[in-house]
Amino acid sequence: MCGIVAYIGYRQAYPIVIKGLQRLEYRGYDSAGVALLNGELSVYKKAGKVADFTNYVSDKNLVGQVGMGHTRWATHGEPNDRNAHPHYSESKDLAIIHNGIIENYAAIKQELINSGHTFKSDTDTEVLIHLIEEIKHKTHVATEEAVRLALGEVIGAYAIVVLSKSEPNKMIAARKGSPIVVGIGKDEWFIASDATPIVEYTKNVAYLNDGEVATIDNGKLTVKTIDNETKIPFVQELELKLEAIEKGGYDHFMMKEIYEQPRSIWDSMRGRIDADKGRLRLGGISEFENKLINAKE
Amino acid sequence: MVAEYLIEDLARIPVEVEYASEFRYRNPIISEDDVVIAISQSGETADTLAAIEMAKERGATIFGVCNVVGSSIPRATHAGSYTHAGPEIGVASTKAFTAQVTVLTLMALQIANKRGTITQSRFRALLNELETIPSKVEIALKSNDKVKEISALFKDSRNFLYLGRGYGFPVALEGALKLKEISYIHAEGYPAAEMKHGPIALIDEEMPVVVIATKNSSYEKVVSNIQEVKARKGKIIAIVTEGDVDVRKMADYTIEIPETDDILVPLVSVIPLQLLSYHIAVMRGCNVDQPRNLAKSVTVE
Repeated sequence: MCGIVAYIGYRQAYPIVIKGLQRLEYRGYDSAGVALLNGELSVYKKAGKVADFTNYVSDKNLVGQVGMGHTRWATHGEPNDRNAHPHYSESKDLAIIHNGIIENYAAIKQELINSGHTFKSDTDTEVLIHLIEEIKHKTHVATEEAVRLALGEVIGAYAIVVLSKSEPNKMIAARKGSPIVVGIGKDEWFIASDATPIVEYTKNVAYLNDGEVATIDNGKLTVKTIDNETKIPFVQELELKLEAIEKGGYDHFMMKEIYEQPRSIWDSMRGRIDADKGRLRLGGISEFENKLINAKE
Repeated sequence: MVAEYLIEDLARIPVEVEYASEFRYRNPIISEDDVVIAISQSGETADTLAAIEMAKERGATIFGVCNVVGSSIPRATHAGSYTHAGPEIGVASTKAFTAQVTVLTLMALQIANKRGTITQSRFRALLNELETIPSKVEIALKSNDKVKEISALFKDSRNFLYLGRGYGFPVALEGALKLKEISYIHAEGYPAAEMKHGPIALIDEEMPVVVIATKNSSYEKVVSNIQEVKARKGKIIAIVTEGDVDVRKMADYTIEIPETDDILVPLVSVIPLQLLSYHIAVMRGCNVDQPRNLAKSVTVE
């Protein structure tokens, strides 16, 4: 679980993104990062809370009308600066933020290493952005098309946002399993894990469905499925009150967490059991399996 | 404790459950053949870390079950599995507890399967049943309105007793702990059959007794324990399997949960107990997310 927020429009992106990250901090708080498009594609990231991050970037260039930010809850790779999001692609033309788990990242990573990619982090996320770039270069398609093709190859759950230095008027988002809300303002667009970073700017939102890729390109939103079917986004009005937001509408975190259990229990089994095939594999214990099996009777 | 029952039951390896803080000071018998499983949501619990270091020195293999990735305990252990429950902010643990139980269940099953102490068909049946648990938890959450009504009746109680047998006993302990933590009502979890050797003396018409009375091998025994409480006019709040008839006739209040395998009952039956403690605490005006005197990550010894 992580928090993601992104902005493309006429305002400065950084203040919107940071405020959004503070709202989303309940979704993860072990590291934070921001990417901004301003001729360059600048990435800043830091282990720690959002407050640590804002101190860290206080002397950096934070200009840009397109940006995205991430607050992390580590799943692959411990929380440190290197593993924090956003992650660059090989050429640094693309950057990604990701909430979720790419289950088959190890196999894809090996293939990419074989074709010359080098990785800077231990994350599954960095593998995904390298894969997107690899596909983009091989098939000479637009970034959103490369994203769509790449997502066809991965197994797992994700909510992602991708920015490209060479296509500065474009922002791409996709989801499967992890939530994405697109906020639709006048000549500006917001993307976030939930509506809390968006609510003070616009009440018009579209929730992406599983397996959908949204592209905002020169002020126009298009949505496609991973199977390349065009969808008309369903725009609805938010009924969210600002004070309810960090707790996702519940009065207390405890109640929210009680209600998250169908999902959290599933998350603790995901990728570990396959009942159809009668398989169970708890990665961590495999190496010490014999110790466990032969533990003193 | 759920893990002790699971690993002994399925994998046939003897297990001792220890408080890290006691374990490290009592010169325990630990050798190279032992495996120590360290369980901590935050992965920072000071007593648990110290216990790990001590067991390591004596040559044991240490396995961690933690929620916070990259925290100190996973770094201090030989191996481990994360619970992947996501950040837990409420100080009273809910989803981190069920995630720990889930991971420990997977662990017990994997060892049991490798050791051949359970049949292939039982192994596969349990995997299938595990996959249904999230939806059964979803159904158990639907008891919320009913639990809230019951909470209103007992919010001013000064004591609570929680009873269970077999896999229901650790659930009784967890239910009592949740209530104590956030509502500040004194509560005790007890093995149902042991009640007659002590706590039964406390029972009167004011005493709410929460009983885990799901359909399983010890169901009949629990039914007699309920009668013992009823004979002393205690008020029974029973967690029962959907469609239950016998307990419903005796109990003052029943809360239904979906049927599941005996070993997976803790994951489903703890849900109404979490809701009960939550509603009682809210009705008593307690700060549920930050109960007095408690901290999320206990980094002092």
